[in-house]
Amino acid sequence: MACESEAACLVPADSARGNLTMATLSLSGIGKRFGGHIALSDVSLEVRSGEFICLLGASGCGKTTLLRIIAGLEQHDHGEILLEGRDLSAVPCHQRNIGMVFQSLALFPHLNVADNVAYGLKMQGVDKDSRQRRAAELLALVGLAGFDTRAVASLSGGQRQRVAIARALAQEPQLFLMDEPFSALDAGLRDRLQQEVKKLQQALGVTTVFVTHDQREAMALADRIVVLNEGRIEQAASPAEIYQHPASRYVADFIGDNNLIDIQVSGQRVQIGASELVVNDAAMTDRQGSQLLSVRPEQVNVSAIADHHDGLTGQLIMQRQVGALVEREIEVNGQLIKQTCFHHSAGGFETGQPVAVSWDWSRVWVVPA
Amino acid sequence: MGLVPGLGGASVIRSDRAATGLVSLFSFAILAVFFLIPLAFMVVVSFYKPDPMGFYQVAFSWENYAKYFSSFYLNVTLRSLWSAGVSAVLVVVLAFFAVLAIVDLSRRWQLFWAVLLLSLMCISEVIVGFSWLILLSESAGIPRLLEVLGLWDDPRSLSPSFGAMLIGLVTLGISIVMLILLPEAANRDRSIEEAAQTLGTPPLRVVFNITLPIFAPTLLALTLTMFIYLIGVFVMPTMLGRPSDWTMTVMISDKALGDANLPLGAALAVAMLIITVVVMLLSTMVSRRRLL
Repeated sequence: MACESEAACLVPADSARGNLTMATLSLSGIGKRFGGHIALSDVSLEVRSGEFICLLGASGCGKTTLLRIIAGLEQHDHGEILLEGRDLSAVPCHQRNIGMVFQSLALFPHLNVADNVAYGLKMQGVDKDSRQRRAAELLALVGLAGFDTRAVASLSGGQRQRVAIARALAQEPQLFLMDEPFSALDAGLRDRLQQEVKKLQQALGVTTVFVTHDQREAMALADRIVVLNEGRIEQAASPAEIYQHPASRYVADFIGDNNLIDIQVSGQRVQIGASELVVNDAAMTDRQGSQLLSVRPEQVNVSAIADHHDGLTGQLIMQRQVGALVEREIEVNGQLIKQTCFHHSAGGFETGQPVAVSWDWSRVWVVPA
Repeated sequence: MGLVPGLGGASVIRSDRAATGLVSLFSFAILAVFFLIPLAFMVVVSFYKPDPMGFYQVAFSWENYAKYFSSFYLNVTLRSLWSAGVSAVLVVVLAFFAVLAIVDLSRRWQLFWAVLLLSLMCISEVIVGFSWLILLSESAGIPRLLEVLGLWDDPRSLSPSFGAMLIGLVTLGISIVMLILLPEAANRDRSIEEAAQTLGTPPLRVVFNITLPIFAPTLLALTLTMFIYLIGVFVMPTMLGRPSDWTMTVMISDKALGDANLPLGAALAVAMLIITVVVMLLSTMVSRRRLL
């Protein structure tokens, strides 16, 4: 029975776990050029055993190239790839024992569902009975029990996705790679499959590298997110760390909505455009001179201007209600500041009205230079 | 054409249907004039009697078909089916692997091959035949080259022969098949082959385990098309084959034009047409069962 609507259907029985082993992946100084274009530049990364890593970045940042290099589908120009201490640099793709789910899923159209899942086992020389038994176990694991003899062309998008996952897991890979596997699915199904894949990965404990350009997907799935930009790692950290403490202007701008504000710090005085504020937060005033301030829209407070207000003021340019949230744009010293808050706590302001703008200095973040 | 509201809309739809019907009728008329009428004429003539003074005498006789069932013409039929079948398979196999190699080349080299193949298609069958005659000749061709290289002490002309005839037939068909396969091979989803590699398949086995089965329906259709095309080729068997290699096409021409025996030529052509259709239907049925 298919379980496209049951988020919990991918919980493996012990038999379905097979001999999946956790493995550490170590990338060191990986570089790759395509003609004159540098796709990857000195990429180094340690993926812990059983960890779920998301490679996140805009199109062309090198995330898929890195995944393909790990899989052995591209040859890197320099650097070292170690999987559980074994150097993979000279090991051809078909000998790496890495399971991969492709963006197009790449199911074999001339084979039925069970034969797709059992294909890798056939290549390993596993006898037919064992192959069929294992394929049936994996299909049950992904909620497709009884689909063995169906043609892959007759499956829905979500069912194909499950077959691709089962096929990649059948050979009990040391490493599980996924290249934007949910990009072609509608939002609801994508959310459900994300939950299922996360549960499956946690239950099996297989080390996983997942490529996506969708930061929401990365936040939902990853133990650690690796943000790539122009072939370099900008930051590798937990989703919360990446969001709250972005390591560079690129990450601060790329991850989530953000207000990036150029400030000038001198002693306890902080200059923002034409306004000068006195800030008593030690962590803030530790860094002197020109700095970049990252203030998330939900950290911004908007209030009416009091009689003796000496903080930032601005003009409310735009406001709109999006479900339970209110989104606003306030022009402060010529810069647009975005604010998000819950509708019930938004207060009543008219568009065009002058307002006071503030934030908790202990919670905002100075982006490292 | 816009749809007019009310009854006017219905009349517009009717006139559109009438226009479509007119175009279909025109196509059918062309088909009838250039194919069905000559075919019907051939079938009728195949029952006439030959006239030593002219082409035929109007009559109804099975004599020509009785001759067809002599061992001589049955042998020629089998030979024709064999040479067309072998050359069709060779054409498709060679073209398939050549195309897989070409689509992995740079864009510039792919364009070069596409232009070369188009050029090959433009060359007359007779010119291709003569080219192979020269290349396979003892004095100026490949045998001579092998002698100069010290690889063949006693060079002889390689034509006429069955092999030479096959080479000619393959040359005729290969550019057509390669041009048909090129876009499909270039646009195929390579990630399917890559997936097979990640599942433990060595690159060469990927071609046989994955690429070939995926292309199987296309290759089968091309083989049947080539079979029909090559069974009707006249120039290559006459130029590059021995008389013992000549196919039914040569025999039909020989009887109809050389011996002025149009009824026998027509009967041979009708018999060959029926056998070709039967062979095609059987191979389609067998291959469908295998593919399903």
